[in-house]
Order: sequence, then structure tokens, then C-alpha cells
Amino acid sequence: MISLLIFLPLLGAALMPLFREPKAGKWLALLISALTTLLSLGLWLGYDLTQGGFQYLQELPWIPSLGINYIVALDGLSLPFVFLTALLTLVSVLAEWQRDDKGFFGMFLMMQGALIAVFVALDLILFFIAFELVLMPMFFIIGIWGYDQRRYAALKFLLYSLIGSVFLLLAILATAFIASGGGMISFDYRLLLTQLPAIAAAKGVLLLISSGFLVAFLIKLPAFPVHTWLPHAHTQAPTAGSILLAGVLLKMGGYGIIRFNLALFPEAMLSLQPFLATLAVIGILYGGYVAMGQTDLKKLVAYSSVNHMGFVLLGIASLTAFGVGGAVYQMVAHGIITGLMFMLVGMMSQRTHTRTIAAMKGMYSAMPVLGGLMWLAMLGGAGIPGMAGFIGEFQALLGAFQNPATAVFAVLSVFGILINGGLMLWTIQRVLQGEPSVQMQENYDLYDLKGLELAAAAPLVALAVLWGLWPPSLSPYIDRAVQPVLELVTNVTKVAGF
Amino acid sequence: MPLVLPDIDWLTLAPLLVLLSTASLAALYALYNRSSKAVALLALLGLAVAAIFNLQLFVASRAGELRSSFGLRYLADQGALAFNFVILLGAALAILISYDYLKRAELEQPEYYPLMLLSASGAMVMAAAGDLIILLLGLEIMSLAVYVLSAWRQQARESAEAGMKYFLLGAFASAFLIYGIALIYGATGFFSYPQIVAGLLAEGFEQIFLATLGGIMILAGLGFKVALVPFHQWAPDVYTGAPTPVTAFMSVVVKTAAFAALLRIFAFIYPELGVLAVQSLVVLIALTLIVGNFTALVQRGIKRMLAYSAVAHAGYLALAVLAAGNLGMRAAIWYLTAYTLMNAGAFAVLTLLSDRNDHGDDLERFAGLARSRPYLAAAMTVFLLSLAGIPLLAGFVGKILVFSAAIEAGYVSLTVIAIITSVVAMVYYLRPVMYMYFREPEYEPLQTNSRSTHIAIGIAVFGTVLLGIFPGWWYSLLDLGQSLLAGL
Repeated sequence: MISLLIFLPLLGAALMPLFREPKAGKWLALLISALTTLLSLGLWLGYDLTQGGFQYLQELPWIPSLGINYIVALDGLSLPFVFLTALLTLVSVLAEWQRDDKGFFGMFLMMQGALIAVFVALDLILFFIAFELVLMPMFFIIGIWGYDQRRYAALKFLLYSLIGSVFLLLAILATAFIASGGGMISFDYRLLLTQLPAIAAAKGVLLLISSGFLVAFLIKLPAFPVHTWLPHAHTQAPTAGSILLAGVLLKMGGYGIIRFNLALFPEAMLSLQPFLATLAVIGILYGGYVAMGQTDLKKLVAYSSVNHMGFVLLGIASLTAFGVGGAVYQMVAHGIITGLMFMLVGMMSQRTHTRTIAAMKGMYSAMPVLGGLMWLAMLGGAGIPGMAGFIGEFQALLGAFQNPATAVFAVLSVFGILINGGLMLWTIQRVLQGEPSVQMQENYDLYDLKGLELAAAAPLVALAVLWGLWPPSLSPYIDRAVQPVLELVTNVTKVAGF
Repeated sequence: MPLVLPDIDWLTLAPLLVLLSTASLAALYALYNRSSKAVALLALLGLAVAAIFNLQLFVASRAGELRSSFGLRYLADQGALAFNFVILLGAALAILISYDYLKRAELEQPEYYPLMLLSASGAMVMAAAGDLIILLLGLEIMSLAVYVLSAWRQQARESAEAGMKYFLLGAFASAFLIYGIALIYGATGFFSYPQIVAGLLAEGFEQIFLATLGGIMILAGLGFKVALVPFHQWAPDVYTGAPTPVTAFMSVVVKTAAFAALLRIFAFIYPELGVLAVQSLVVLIALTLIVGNFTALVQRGIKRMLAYSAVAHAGYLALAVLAAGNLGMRAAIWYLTAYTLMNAGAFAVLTLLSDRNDHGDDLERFAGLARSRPYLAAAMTVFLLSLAGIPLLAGFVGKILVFSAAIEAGYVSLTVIAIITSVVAMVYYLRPVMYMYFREPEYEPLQTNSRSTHIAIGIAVFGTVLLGIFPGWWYSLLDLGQSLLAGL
């Protein structure tokens, strides 16, 4: 079943060149992304929460002589992201429905398949392959269909990611070799988990190896100071590219840290805790601060992502159940809300032919539905109670407070909430309130959301509110997966005598 | 005195003999009939028949039957046979690329194909050599033909320069190799590998310094052929000056043969030499990886960029040579298979894009190619991404295999250099891709088409993708760790 989620989109992408009719591409993309969304929802509902652990396991030999196998499964950590990937691909296809370019939709399907593979892979090499494979379609999406500086942005995005991947690959190879202890090498994640003492025994290189993983994931997240690719990639990417970039691609970073760094290198995480928390706080404060100064609406949203992802990192760095769970919640919420925000910004700039904040006055009165949804998304981004963003941020902060080692960072981050809240309200004031300029009204047709656009936005709005008001529909799954990982960390703490 | 027949196993020699007799036959035929087509087909047929014999031997050797000829001096173990496949594949691709190219460039002379076969047969001798003299013979057979081929475009100065340069520097390299062989012979008194090793391990052996020096000299001689820094100076000029199909041939077949020889002596003789011999290869690899990749970064011409990329790939391959005793041999054969496909493929695309004088391979020519020639652009993208080591393409698996072999052999810091420089490599491989897809055309693209080249590109794309997605079958066939040494 899981394999269907990976290979159906990939198959669709492979079939794309065969179509003569350019329009056929988007119909195929719509069909496949809708199917996979339903399928992933079904898998989620079918997941046995009481049993927990990895379910829907599928194992096939791939390169057995090298210990590389095709192993995929779902647990509470991967479920929300798999669903998010499928849903956001569907939303992206709908949001770009005016395009008739089959190559464009082919790239999205390819990316969807690779992204799902990232979240379900239980073989480290398979994970790495998927992790790398995500880059290529995004590289082409930004580079071919982006705005003026797309080439620069695409290359920057790719290079940053590749530098991270290099360290990741090295760290994966080293981990497997250390864990094998001279015997048969294996990249099976479950097997590596049983070899934790062997890994931990490699004291000298432990920090180095875990940093290899960490670098790749921090670049993806992105954390300060390796976040600089993000604003460029976001501003230059087409709308759907931004949606998936913010909605899912960044999440690979947080997912990776929890899945691999926390589980395989708990000691190293413990010693890196202050460092990570510092990066998180800088991301929170600096991201929010820089977002304030932006004149381009899309860039503003991009920098606010740096702020949001800071909370994710803070939650993880707290090493508490609350914090890590909150980090995951925050990632899902950010995917929904920021995805929505990017979509609305795209629709708005399509109508106004600008993204400059100063030129976009009074959007609410010109387009009440679009403006209203933008209100909602902005408030969600500010983290008001009742929206999904609040739960994640709050939980992550609470977790950071719980752990005395990170409490001081939590206090500092509260200012970040303030900055971010102010930013969102100020943006609402500048973009949505008032009346549109005469020039804008005369020159452009400021029509409100059409049916299809509304359909694209609807699921995101619904989920942002659902997961804001009713966390039990999401958090038990996350907690179920996070608990065992944190037990590993607690064991280390006990042994070390903290 | 009774006549003692040498120990000759004809089946072991069959692939080689087929190539040699096809080459002679084709050369004779060309005297009477100047039709290139017939000669090219004959050459392809010869390669196919050689491949069939080789397959028979390969199957037999997998069943445990280890053949050799001339008293373990010419080997047909799995390593040699697997290399033969790679060599035959490379030669076949080169011939397919050449056919229409030569017509277009008005260089059509049927002798071209026998020369290529001769060179390939020399390459096979190198892969099979279990004796330093046989190795030298193979090297010379292979090289002489390539010297002529690289100067094939007689009127053009670059091509003549390429041939001359390659010949002169090649002569130097041969001198190094011979000197090294002489030193080892002087130290141990033997030419054949098992005897050399026995001599080195013999009690009371005192000439270890001499032997080590010889080993380093041999390394230098073979290092020249595979273009390890600092013996790479010839490569960019020769690669650029030679006709593109010859460049393709050189970059795959010659490299494969030299690595086959290097791997065998490294697995067998070098462990018994002084530590200096291995250390000098470590230094060469580090230099090759850094210089090759960074120099490729600043090239504007694709052909020259590919030349430096070939240097860089020599570095990755040599990393496998270091680990030759363990997984390195398998990794290297695998890598060379992948490399042959993707590199020959890239050069094949290049022949369709450059004009008849091989000019116009600069980046600007690639601008907007995705729109004007989408399939060609897609194929080139596959080759470049594979060379760059993007997953699900053959080059990625090759890198993984080589890196894990090197890590297992304990060369971690060298692997780190290799991995970091491979990021640099991404930039120069992606640059043409970006030109093809992210830019508008600046020139009217040449609408050159060629059926045989298309076939070559098709084979290369198919192989690159197949090996990338299903790497296991070929790797498991290369299960030769023990049999290689047992065969010696």
C-alpha cells in the first residue's frame, strides 16, 4: 500500500512525456494526487494506535550484498507528513490549474513520490536516495517556471542541499560500518536501533557522525545561519513550488533530526542541546525581525517560516516529550498554514501583478473571500489560539520550559512570538485593510476567488481550524511515535547521571 | 632436444583472437573495398562474437572453472572477463558513435575501425595480464592504435597536436613503466605476479627498496594512462583535439584497461611492497580529486569540462584501487561499467551538437536545447546527472560502492575529500543542464541526426537508468573476491 503512494506518482511522472495533449498532464496529476491523498488518509485511519510502532511494513531485497534493501513502513511520526505531502500536492495542482504544461505537473508528481519515500523509508540508503531525489524536481520547478532570478535561486537551493547531503551520506556510511562491527553491513533502521550500544561506543567520532546528519537536516529546516537559500528559493519559485517547499520540503529536516539524530545518537544530541537551542532562538528572533523589514510579501512569508521553524528546533532541542511532540505538531501546522499563505499570496499577486506590500492596500475590501482567508492564514501564522499553529508553538515552548537546560531559551523565544504576532498584524494592516489604490482598481481586474481556487484553499483552511480546535485528532499519533525515541534519550540521561 | 609447446589454452584466448582476426580481416578487406559501412559492421560483429566467447568463459568461471594460458600469464578469471565485457561495450559504443560522425566530418576511412579493434584487443590483454611483460605488450598494442586515432583529423592542427602530444607523453609513460618493471625484475628476478610475490616474501629478501621504487614507477606509468594528477597534463588537450568519438573511446576503454591492470597488481603485489608505494597512490588520489574537480569547474567548453571530469573520475576509481583487496575490485568494475555508459553517452550527444570540425561545444550552444531538441537534452541530462552522482542513476551507485569500499579499507579522510569534491562536481555537471533547461536558445541548434549515434545514446541511457535502479544483479555477478587471487 505504501509503495503505491510512492510509485503511483512516479509512474505518473514517467508517463507524462507520452501524452500529446498538454492538458492531459494536469488531469493525470489531479487524478493521482487525489487518489494518493485518499489512500494516505485511509492508511492513517487504518493505523492501529494501540499497537503503535511501524505498520504496513513492506520489505523487498534491493542490493542485498550491500545490505541495502527496500524497507518502507509508517508510524505516527511519518503518517501526518505522508498525508500532508499527498494533500499539498493535490492543492498545488489545483492552485496551478491555469497552467497547461505537462512537464510542470510531471515534476510535481515526481517530487510527491520522492517526498513520500523520504517519510516512509526505513533503510538509510533508501532514505538518502529519496532525500536527494526530492531536489531534482524542485530544482527544475524553480529554474524553469520561476521568476526573474530563478536560475540563481535554483542553483543556490540545490547547492545548499547538496552540501548537506554529502555530509549525510558520509554519516550514513560511517554509522552503518560502526554498527556492523566488522560483520555484515546493513542500512536497516530497525537493525541499527538494536545496535545503539555499538554506535555509542564509538566515542571519538560519534559527535562528528551525528553532526553529519545534523548539518543536512539543519540546512533543510532551515536553521540560522544556513537559512539563506530559503528566501531566494521561495520568492523565485512558482506558487505551487512555494507551497510544497514550505509545506513539506522543510519538514524533511525536522523529521530527519527526530528520526535519526534523536534515535541513533541520543548522547550527541544531549551534548549539542545548548548549541541547537541557541540556533533555534536566533532563528526565532532573527527570522521574525528580518521578516519585518521585507517589502516583498512572499519574502515576508518566507522569513516568517524561519521564525516558525525555529520553534520546531527549540521543541526538539528541549528533549522532552512535550517539546518534541510540539515540534512535530508545529511542522504539520506550519505546512498547512504557510502552504495556505503562499497559495493566497500567489493568487493575490496574480491579480495585482505585484508582490510589493506597499502596493497591495485594501485587498480585503476588493476581494472579501480571498482577503478573509488571508486574514485567517495570517492570524494562524501569528499563532492565535484556535488555530493549529498555536498548539504546536505552545507545546514546543512548554517543553522547552520543562527542561531546565532550555528554559532560558524558552524565555527568549517568547519575544519571538511577540515579534511574529506583531509582524502578522502589521501585514494584515498594510495589505488587507483600507481601500485599494485607484491605480490598482483601474488597471487590474481584482476578481475574488473562483470555485477551483476556493476548492484548493478549503482543505487547508479546514485542517488549520480542525487541528487548532481538536488536537486529539493528531497528537496521539505523534506522541505514540515520539515516546519511544525519547525513552532512548532518557536512558542516556540516567546513565550519564544527570 | 624435444620441442616443448607452450601452455596454450585456446578458449582463454578466444575473445582476444576473435578481435585480432576481425581487425586483420577488416584491414585486408578495406584494401579492396573502401566501404566504411561494411567494415564498421564487420567490426561490430567481431565485438559481438568476442562477447559471446567471453560470456562462455564468464559462465564457466562462475562455475568455478578458472582458465589461464601461458602458465598463469594470461588469465581468464572473473575479474579479467568482467573487464572484457566493459571494454567490448565501450568499443561498440565508440564504433556506433563514430560511423556517421566520420562521414559528416569527411574523415571516413575504413582503417579507422580495425585500429579501434586492435586497441580494444590490447586493452583486453592488459586486463588479463598476469605478468608484467604481458601487461606492457597489451599497453603498447592499445596505445599505438589510439595515438593514430587521436590524430585522425590530419588537416586540423588540434588533432595533429593531440596525436603528437599523446604519443610523446605516452612514450614517457611507457618508459616509466618499463623502468619499473625492470626494477622489480632486478629485485625479484621474475616477471609473473605469483613469482614476484613469492620472491618478495622469500626469506632473506633484501631488495625491498628497489622493488618499492619499481612499484612507484609502474604506478606512474599507469597513472599516466588513467590521467591521475600530476600525470594528467596531456588529457585536456588530447581529449579536446582528438575527434570526439576517439575521445569517447579513450575516456572509457583506455581507462578501463589501465585500471584493470592497476587493480590486479595493487591487489596482489603492492601489499608486499614498502608502505611508500601505497602512500604515493594516496597522495595522487587526493591531488587528482582536488585538481580534477576544481579545474573542471572553470571550463567553458563542454568537451574540455568532460576531459577534466574524466580526470576526477580517475580519482574516484583509484580510491577503489586502494581498497583493491577487499570490495574495491568489485566496486571498480561496477563503476567502470557505469562510467563507460554515461561517459560514452555524453560524448555521443556532443557529436550531434558540435559542427563538423568539433567546434561549438561551448556552454552557449546548450542554451535552450530542452526546447529545440528535447530528447537529446533529456539524454544529456541523464548522463550528466549520473556523472554527478544523483541517485537512481548508475553513477550514484558506483560512488556508493567505491566510498563504502574505501571506508571499509580504512581510508576515511580520503573518502571525505572525495565526497566533498563531488559537491564541486555537481556544479559543473549541472551548469550545462541549467543552460539546456533554464535559458532561451542563443543559436540555431544543429539538426544533426544519426541513426547509429542514436542507438548508442539509447543503449547508454537504458544502461545508466537500469544500473541505477537495479544495481544488484550486475554487482552480484561480480562476486569475485576469492577467485581473483585463486586464479593467480
